[in-house]
Amino acid sequence: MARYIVKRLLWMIPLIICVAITIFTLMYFVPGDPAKIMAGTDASQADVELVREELGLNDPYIVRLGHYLSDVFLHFDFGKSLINRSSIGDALIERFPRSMTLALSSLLITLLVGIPLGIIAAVNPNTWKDRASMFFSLIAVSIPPFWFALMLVVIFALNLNLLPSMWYGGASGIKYWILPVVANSVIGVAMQARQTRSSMLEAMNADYILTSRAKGLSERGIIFRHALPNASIPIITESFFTVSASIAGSLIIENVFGIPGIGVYLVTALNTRDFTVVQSTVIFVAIILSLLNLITDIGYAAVDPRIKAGFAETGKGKRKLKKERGVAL
Amino acid sequence: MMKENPAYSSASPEGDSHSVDCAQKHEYEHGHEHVRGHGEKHGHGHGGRGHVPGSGFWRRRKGQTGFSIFLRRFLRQKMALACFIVLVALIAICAFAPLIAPYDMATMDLTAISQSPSADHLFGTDDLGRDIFSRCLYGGRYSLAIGFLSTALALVIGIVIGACSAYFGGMADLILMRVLDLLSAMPSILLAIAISAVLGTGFDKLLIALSISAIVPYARQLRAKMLAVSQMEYVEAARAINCSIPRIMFIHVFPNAMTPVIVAATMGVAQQILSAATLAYIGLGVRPPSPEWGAMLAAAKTYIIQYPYMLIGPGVLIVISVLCINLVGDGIRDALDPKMKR
Repeated sequence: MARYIVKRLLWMIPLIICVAITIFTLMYFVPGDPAKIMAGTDASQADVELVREELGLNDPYIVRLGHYLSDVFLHFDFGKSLINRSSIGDALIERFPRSMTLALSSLLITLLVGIPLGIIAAVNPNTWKDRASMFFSLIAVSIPPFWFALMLVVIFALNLNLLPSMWYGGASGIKYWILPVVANSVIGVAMQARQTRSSMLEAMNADYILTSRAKGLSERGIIFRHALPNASIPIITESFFTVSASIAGSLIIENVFGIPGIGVYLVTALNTRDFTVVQSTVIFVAIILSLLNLITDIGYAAVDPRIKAGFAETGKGKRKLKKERGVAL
Repeated sequence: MMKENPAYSSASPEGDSHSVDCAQKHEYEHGHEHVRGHGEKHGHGHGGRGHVPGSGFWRRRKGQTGFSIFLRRFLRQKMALACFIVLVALIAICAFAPLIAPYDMATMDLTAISQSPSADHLFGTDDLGRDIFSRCLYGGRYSLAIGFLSTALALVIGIVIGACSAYFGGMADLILMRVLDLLSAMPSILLAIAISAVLGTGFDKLLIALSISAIVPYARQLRAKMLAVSQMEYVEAARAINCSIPRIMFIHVFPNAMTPVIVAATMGVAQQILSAATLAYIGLGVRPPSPEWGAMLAAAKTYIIQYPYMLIGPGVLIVISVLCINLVGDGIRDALDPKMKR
């Protein structure tokens, strides 16, 4: 297991660096001069040159890339905003907890609602419970989350006056989070329910379930002691997928409710053409997601021995096997 | 898909296990959940289990082609068929928008600003007095076209990458899979945002951004399935009678590995429509004067307090089209599933 974790960790480092290089290169080709954006519209040519020198924009691509990578990965400095010269790193750290609160609470809802929904559907196949939960899932995956969020605002905030429609400064209390979390978790709930249902159905059809029924186990015991553990691997995989989906979703949902998290930061930067912010924010989110993926991969290896076995082989053994088997075919 | 395939589990612990396992896992992660072994729903109840995959479906009667069997099985599913008809109708209405739309999409009628839905204006009018229903019809051209075109583009690139990866193996496989790892290091919507930030706004740029962001699942699925299929007995038989490797790959393996990819692509269209709307909502992709559904919602958001009905028309059309595509996708999957009865 330790070997697997180390390998995974070592693989993650080049991946993140490659992501950073890719994003940096993409942003390098963005039309528009960052120095002009930073200096402002009424700056003189000399001012622009000064800013350009300060930002190191006169250096060749490879030098800038090197500076940027060493800033980000060695000094944890994400650079400065082109618009107001504030530190991007500070802004990300300040905003990160809000985005994570939204993402993790929707994840929690997804698991707490989605899995039971799937189990209920699977143990009552072709009944109204099954049909209702699958109908709900189908509708839920077909609704654009931001539109669903807007509809929630129209219904619960504007018409019924039950919940606040916007998050605002210093606002605390659970009621500000209810609508965003519901809007962000609805797709996850639907997907989790569908996955749980199909893997539970498969498990419930297995012969060992028949055996447990034959020896007179209670239905509850069969479901929770026998079927659920055997159906768990796809269910866990799905919940891992939900982690990254709920982070990506929260970036969008934040904008609907004005929650000052990373998503709002990113979208504001996009609209003001503040490309250092876009660049650093995307890389930051990619790093966070890679870390989460690492954790989930390790968890996955813990439940699925095949994955662990794949990593336990030495490189040499793997090459040998490949040679014996022939390439691809 | 994985569960149905006995060859797969035997394939993965042998050589190349890291990439195969990764591909398998990522397929779970990125593929649509509809695709995954969901056919069990139908297998359950009429003895689908234990049925040898492929035995019933491909045994052809006289004069039957694979496609006619598929068509017959698809037509039997009433829900999918109904959705298919709705979808075709929607596409036709949007395509012939200039003939059908009661008003011009850009004409501003300042005497009819921000009207609620009525007989004259089915979805009401917007803040500039333009008829929302007519704009929705024109908008469908953007939204539906972007959904289908970007999926087609992503599918083609994904197939090329996946097939090359499975066919050449070795170094090419390694490099292509690492490129896919790179593309999948962030959620596809974030990748689409980053690419559209560079390219700027507009229909063609949105198309490129969305296509690139959707390649990964198709390539991974095709590669995993091709590797799995190439372990099957009939491929061994083909090798035994000395078929050339390209022949085995493209005549025997590739067509049999395409099924999950086709199903995933159908669902992918729905996903792309949602992504396009989301990008338009945050100010990327197609911009407001063009009546794309997401862009219309973005424009309507400003008036959410005074005129919330502006949000209804485009939103409902997105939901209807995405729902229909998903259900048609379900139908195609079931029709292609050899475990189902004829």
